Amino acid sequence: MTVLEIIATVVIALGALVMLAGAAGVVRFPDFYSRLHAAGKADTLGQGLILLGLAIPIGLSLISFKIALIILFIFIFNPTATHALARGAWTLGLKPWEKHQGEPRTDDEDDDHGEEDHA
Amino acid sequence: MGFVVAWIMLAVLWLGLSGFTDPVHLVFGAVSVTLVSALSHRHLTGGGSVGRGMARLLRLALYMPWLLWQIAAANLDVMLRIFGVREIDPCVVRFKPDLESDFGRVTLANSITLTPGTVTVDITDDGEYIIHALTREAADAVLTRVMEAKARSVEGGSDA
Repeated sequence: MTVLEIIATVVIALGALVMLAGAAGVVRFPDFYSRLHAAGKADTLGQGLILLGLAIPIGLSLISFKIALIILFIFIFNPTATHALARGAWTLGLKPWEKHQGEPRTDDEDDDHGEEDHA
Repeated sequence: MGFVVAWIMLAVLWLGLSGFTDPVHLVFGAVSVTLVSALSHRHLTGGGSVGRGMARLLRLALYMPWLLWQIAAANLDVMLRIFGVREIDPCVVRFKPDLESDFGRVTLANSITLTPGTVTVDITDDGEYIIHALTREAADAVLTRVMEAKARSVEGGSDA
């Protein structure tokens, strides 16, 4: 393995770890909005790192130019999609979960609905 | 002028994506690039002055490293909360940033959403941001308006 390949492997592994954390967050967080945080943001960074890792051993070429474009588009579209989902839920009147409201997950119906939206 | 800029941008994109340099493909590429820029250069370049658009792109490029650093640092924080090392305490905050252009508003809204811990839920008609934050600290970080000041330095004046 060359030095570049080792660096690329580390970057890709880091990206996979971030994606794993995002997936765990979707399961662990209490409501639709907080799950959006895990799904939307971890994916942006995780995908970015994995794609960067793929581009590193190639060096400057047409392929890495295309990968750079994909990373750029992910950084523009992912937050936009996250915002669209959050806004949709907000407009429909879904109330965010709060720590001090007595019983946590009171609105299970809304919760399940949120998951469907996200999938 | 917008047509020329759109044409150059699209030509670079076409060359990068196709990789063909033989005359036949170059002619095809030139024809399609000309067609697309004739049809849509107003949308692609926003119809504003070219110098202003270029200046904005440059300032946006200067803003990116700072934003990337914020994203990385805040991602680590959210990961710790996902695995239960720290608690989460979600809340909704509202604030009204002092921005002049749609470009600045979009930059700020996307930056807030990209930074882990905060999502821009909605922008009301009178320019008030509704933010969902995963933690009190993340909400406070938005309310210090450091990011707003950065977005204002990117926009450089109102839309024409």
